[in-house]
This record gives sequence, structure tokens and C-alpha cells, in this order.
Amino acid sequence: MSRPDSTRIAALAARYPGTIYAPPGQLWGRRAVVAGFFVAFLWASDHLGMSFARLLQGLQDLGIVASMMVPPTSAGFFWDYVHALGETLAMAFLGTLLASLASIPLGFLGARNVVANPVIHFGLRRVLDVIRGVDSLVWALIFVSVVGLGPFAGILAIALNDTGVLAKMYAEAIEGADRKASEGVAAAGGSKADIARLAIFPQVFPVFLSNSLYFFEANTRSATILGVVGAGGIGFFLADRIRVNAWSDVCFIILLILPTVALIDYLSRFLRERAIGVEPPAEALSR
Amino acid sequence: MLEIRDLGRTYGPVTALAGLDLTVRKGEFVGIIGRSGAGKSTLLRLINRLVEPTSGRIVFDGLDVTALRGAELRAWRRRAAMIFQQFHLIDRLDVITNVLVGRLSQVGRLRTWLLAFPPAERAMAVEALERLDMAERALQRADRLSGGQQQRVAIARALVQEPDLILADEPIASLDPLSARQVMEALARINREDGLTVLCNLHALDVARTYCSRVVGIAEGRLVFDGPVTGLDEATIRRIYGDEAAIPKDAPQDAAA
Repeated sequence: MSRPDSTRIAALAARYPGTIYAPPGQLWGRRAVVAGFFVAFLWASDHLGMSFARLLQGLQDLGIVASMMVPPTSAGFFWDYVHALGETLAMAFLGTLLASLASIPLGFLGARNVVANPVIHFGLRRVLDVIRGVDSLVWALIFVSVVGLGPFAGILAIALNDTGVLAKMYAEAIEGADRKASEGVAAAGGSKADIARLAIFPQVFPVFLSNSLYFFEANTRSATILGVVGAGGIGFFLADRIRVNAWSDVCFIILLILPTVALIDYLSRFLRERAIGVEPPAEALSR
Repeated sequence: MLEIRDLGRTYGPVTALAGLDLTVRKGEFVGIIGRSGAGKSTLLRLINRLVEPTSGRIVFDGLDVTALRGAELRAWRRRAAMIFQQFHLIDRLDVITNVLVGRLSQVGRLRTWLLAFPPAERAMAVEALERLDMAERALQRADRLSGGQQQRVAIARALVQEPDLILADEPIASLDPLSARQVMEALARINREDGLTVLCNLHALDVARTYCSRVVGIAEGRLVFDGPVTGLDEATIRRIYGDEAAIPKDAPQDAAA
């Protein structure tokens, strides 16, 4: 084969319209989208006061704060910090676990290929939308005033918010499951519940597990923030030390959080890869 | 001319290919037959260098293929076009863009990445699709096509690479009989009209009988037959397929494979 000449190109373009030259409408449509994004970016950055000069000024102030962070000190609170960090981890763990367990039945109920009733499906999805629409920080504030200060409010906030997200993701994973296995179980005389347990669950379990582990990772980080609003854990100390400008204490707490989060990330990644099995790349792609 | 000398590949303790020698002249249509796991796929993948050899050399028109690295290796892969059993198209892209993947070595990287191929390249892709009777489908997504249609798109992609070799790895093993015939006819036509050398892995003996001027039999990683189709007698077939193949000559070939 060789590249066709211009008469041949013209002939092919006439015979198969749209293959060689995009129709003008499509072309201008694409340009309009790109131009639209550009305009929106400029407008928003102007409107929200994004300015390089202010960023530079801020960097100077950041330098001052950073210099006040050295040397990091625990000021005799070391074991209190460790205890609070443990509380944060426990909050993240319990919150994620509760959300994951609640999301399994909710995910099956919310999946169209399991529960065909459109009323249940629609109702459940809207409830989940509402739960998800409110951030876990707001839930934490609400629960602090309901059950009082402390980690219990944090656990509830994490569990509720994540149920909203995980149940939706689980439901979508279930809807994406292969129908062939379900048909196999049905053909062997299985009930709907049998199908859910034997055909669908084994397919979606790795997705469930991997999502939940991601959420555990993310919650370890966000549980720190929940403490700031009084929901227990290391965040309480962090917010307190920031309030009184005790920056070297703040630095110490951050240095304590960083390796903990890194360790959780590593453990979670390890478990995820063990559970789902990572396929090695093809030989030619690994070089 | 493709010269393969003492070519071998082991996977840990498993030997996929053991010291294979083979010479293929320009314009030949060679059918490679053997049971699953005999080493046919490994052979074709070694020629394209998708798999690295553990011993031996491959030389094409004086070029030592086994020594190539980086850009030179990619240039070689352009010349040794692969066709896969599972088509290996990009499902979410349209047919013509899938074919244009075969032009990426000739089109600048920026244009490739923006999928902004010049009209001459797009026309070449349409022309290749037209030869395979697929031009009408150029703007459809690849996953909307049947298996046979997808394989013809894959052949069009191979064609626009302007290759010296076509390496077809079980191109019809996932296709129904009619689609299989269309795909084999297309390969035969390309071999005839463009003078392209074709190496084609096949399960089924009768397909090799119909299309291949020369047949190479592989069993357990070793070459056990090399010759014209007419040289395939009962004893040779048994050597290639093992003793289970001791079945009447006119039995369905699926059973033999």
C-alpha cells in the first residue's frame, strides 16, 4: 500500500463522507467546547481573585510559619499524641467497616439487575444522594451536637457519608457484573438470592474490597480533620495547637501523622493487590 | 528473506520453543500448524519481538532483528505486522482511528496524540478498509462490529503499516466458518497482490491445505515438518498432533486440532 494522491483522496472523501474530513458542524462544535473551557477558566480565575502576586506574598508568610515550626517539639505530650493518633485510626477503621457492611445489602437493593422494582431503586438512590450530598465534616458537626464530643461522632460521620458513596459504587459494580454467570445459576434452578450469592457476589467482591480499602486510606486522612470539629482523635490536638500559634507542636504532630498515613497506604495497597491479583504486564510492555 | 537460526525461548523450567531453524523467502504464504501450546504463538511473537528469545537469532534481509533496541526495534515492529486471535483493537475508538494506529510510525507524535491525522493518512486508511470491504463502517466504534469484521479491521491496520511481513496468530480461531473464510481469503489476496510474506498460525489442517503453499509443523517447541502441503501424510500428521490424531482422514478437523 502507498499513500493515495490528491485525486484519489478527493474520490474517497466523496464516496465515504465524514471519514477523511470531519463535517464542519462537528469541527466548529469541538472548537466551541475548547474555547468555552478557556473562557470559563479566565472568568473564574478573575472572579475568584486568583492572582500570582498574592500567591508570592503568601509564600513569604508560609516561610515565616515554617521557620516557627523548627525545632518540632512534643512538649511532654508525646504519649497523648500517640493515643489520639490511635483513636483517629480506630475511627477510620470502624467507620469504614460499618459503611462497607451496610453498603453490601444496600448495593444489592440498589442494583437494577437484582431488584427490578423501580420504586425501591429510585427511592434508595435518592436517599443515598442526600447522604452523599452532605460532606462528612458537616455530618461530624451534626453528630457532635447529637452524641457529644468524641470519637463516636467521628465514627458515625464517616460511616454515614461513606455508606452514601460505597453503596452507590457497589450497586454500579453489581450492575456491571457479567450476566452469563447469573444465567448459569438460574438455569440450575437457583433463586434470586442464590444468584446474588453464587453468581454476582464472587464477581464483585474484589471491587468491594478494593473500594473499601481506598476509603480506609482516605478516611485515615480525613479523620484527622474530623478531630478539628471535636469528633475525637489527633485532629483535636492539631486544631488546638494551631489556634495558639504553637507551630513547633503542630510540626511535631504532622511529622507523626505522615508516616502513619504512609504506612496505612502501604498496607492497604498490599492487601488490595493480594485480594484482586495484579496481572503482570505483557513482556513487550514491561521493557 | 527471513532467516531463523536456533531460536529458543524458555519460561522458567518450561521450554516453549527449542532451537528452531526456519528460512522463509519473500512472498511465501507459510502455514504454521500444531496443537495448542506447541510454541506457534511464541514463534510469531519472537519474530515481532513481543517476546524476547533466550537463544538464537532472527535475521531479515541482513538485519539482525534480535539485536534491535529502542527506536530501531519499534521500526522493525512496523515492518512485521501482527494479527491476533482476539483482534487487539481499541474498542472505544472508531474503526478508522484503529486503522490509523498502523500509521503512527509515519505520522508525527503530536498529530498522533491529538488523533489529528492528515487527510492523506486518513484516505490511506479508508483505502485499506475498502480493500477489506469495511470502508462503510469506518466511523463506527470498533466494539460494534462482529468478530470477523473486527479481524478485517485488524488486517487493514496491518496493511497501512506497509509491512514486509504479516504475522497472523490464529487469526480465525475465534470466528465462525464464513467469517473465517473471508479473513483467510483477505490474507491470501494481500499475499498475492502485494507480494507480502505471510506467516499464519493455524489449528485446522484443512485451512492450511487450502491456503498455504508451505506448511511448517511444530510439536513441543520443535520443528517436526517443513514442506509443501502435499507432503502431509498420515504419519506426519500424527507427529504434529500426537497419537490422539489417529482418526480417519475425512473426520472434522476441529477434532484433530
